[in-house]
Amino acid sequence: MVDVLIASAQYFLHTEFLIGLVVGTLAGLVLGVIPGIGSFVGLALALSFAFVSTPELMLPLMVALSGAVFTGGSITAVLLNLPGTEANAATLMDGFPMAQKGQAGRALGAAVTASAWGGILSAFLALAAVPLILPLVFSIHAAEMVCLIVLGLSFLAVLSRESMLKGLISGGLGLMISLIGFQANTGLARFTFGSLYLYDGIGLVPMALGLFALPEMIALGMQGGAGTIASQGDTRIKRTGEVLEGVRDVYRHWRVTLSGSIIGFFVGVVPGIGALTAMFVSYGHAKQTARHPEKFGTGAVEGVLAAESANNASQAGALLTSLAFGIPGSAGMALLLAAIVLLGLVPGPEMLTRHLSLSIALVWTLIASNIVAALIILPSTRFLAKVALVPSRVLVPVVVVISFVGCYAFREEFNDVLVALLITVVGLVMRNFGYNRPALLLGFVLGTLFEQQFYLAYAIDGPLFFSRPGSLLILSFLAALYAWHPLKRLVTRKVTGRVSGP
Amino acid sequence: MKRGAESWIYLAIVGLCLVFGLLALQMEQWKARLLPVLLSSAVLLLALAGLCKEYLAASRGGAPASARSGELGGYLVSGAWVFGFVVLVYFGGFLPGIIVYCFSYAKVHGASWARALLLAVSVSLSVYLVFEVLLGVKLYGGLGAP
Repeated sequence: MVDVLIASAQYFLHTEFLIGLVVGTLAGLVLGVIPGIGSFVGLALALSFAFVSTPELMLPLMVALSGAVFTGGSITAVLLNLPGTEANAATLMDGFPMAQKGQAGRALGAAVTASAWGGILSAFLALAAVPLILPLVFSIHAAEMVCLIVLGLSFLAVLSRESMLKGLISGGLGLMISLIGFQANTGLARFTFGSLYLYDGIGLVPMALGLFALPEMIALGMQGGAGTIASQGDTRIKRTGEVLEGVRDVYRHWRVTLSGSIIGFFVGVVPGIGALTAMFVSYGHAKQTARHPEKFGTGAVEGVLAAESANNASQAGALLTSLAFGIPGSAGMALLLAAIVLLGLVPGPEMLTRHLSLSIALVWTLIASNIVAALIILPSTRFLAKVALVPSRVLVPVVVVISFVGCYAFREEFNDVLVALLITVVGLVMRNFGYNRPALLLGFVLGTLFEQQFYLAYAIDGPLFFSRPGSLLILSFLAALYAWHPLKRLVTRKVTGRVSGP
Repeated sequence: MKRGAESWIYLAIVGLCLVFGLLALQMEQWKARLLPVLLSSAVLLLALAGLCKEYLAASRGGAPASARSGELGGYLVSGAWVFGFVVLVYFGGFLPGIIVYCFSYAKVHGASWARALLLAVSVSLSVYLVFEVLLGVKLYGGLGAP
């Protein structure tokens, strides 16, 4: 293990890796600051550069971006009462009241430092968990892999905020779309209608950009030219000492930061649910265990600490699940898995066996990006808050242009631009009617692997491959997952009936 | 109306799954058709369940259908800009398309002439420098390009 740790640390001597780390952190901060953009658009845009990239550049860039985006999002949550990303929603509950009381600098200092600590502590937890997970990873065969992919899709579908039915449909559609094109098993071209373009299947880049970046830009464009966010925010910080006061708050309330980090990590490990859930669980826990819970929501610094430490901490947990099992710990990690596939790697156990040192280096990247983000953000908060005021008449054309050029550049194929346009329509419909876009993308990304493993399992263990002990264990998790909501509803109904009964 | 639209979407998914499944059934090798048939059947059942849920809710007089025509109009206008950009690129190529799109988008949405022009020139210049010069991508030159 020591050898692997040393080998993983050596990645930081590569210029490419460092560029990925710094660019990803900067992009994460800027994208986090701009409400309505968030990590999805950023990660999707980053995918469009995968064609000239290597795993050593692209993966740290994406991990650093997803690590720093919530730190950036805390700035607008505190200063402008607008969460930069959805996972900063709880931050504004106490952060903005603090700003209204003239403690904006203190709230920001607390938010940024708690974010950094959350990210760092949970990354160390992830590193400690790797040796424990490895035996589990070695025991995964094709049959278990098939069940794991189904479990991952189900987690995304069931635990997301949208309807479970629509989530499952989305995941299924993603798997179906991935079947378009040449099939390696048989040498047949499926659903190509004689088109040479479709022999290679639908491109991952047009898919990601059409599902995430372009629909968001169309929605943003509806707000008019000056849109993006309310342009009358108070971005003033009275003095630098205030920020340091916030930094000291983290150490004063170290229990809140520590528990937020641990909660964030473990919630992040659960596939399909991400920073948003982690943040609210941590906020609720901090409120329940506080000496003065009535102060929460009126400008209690503990609220900011709990929310910010948890949302950053969830990233390490999500990264661990995504790398080890190939099932995304959060919706954003579905895009990281897409990048892994694009770069010619196989998500899942192989990342913790053949590419273990790279995977560990990615966990180190989370630690580094959190430190770099805090170092950048503390002196430049005022400037970054101004970024949030970029009007949509600038933002929309820039993102639309980069999206389409990125789509084209990947294979120098204009059909990819047309496909992206078509998928944008699908993405808009899904966005508006509550379908689960990350589930569709994940189904699409894992579709080829799913089919390969499905036939491999079939060849090795026969049609009843899912009756292997490991598969049965995963399937029992799946059954519990599906039973969870109806059972919860039943229990709630019974309890409510008893309370309101005669 | 939203409820109507929800049902139409489920119907579209049902139709898609039927076509997908039927096409798969015509494939010669079982390894090529097994998974498409399984997946399309599963999604078909889910979409039918969603459709039934919609009709049950509608027959119970559930949530009132909300008029969303204003929102739809907004999406159409905003989407038309994106569509227009692709049309521009298709005929004229990326660089002229970017200049016209960025300039007109910024101008129509309230930017001054100078700022709109600055945006158009800076975006197209950045795309040229990053993609053509730095990354060596031959950007699409439009229908008339050799």
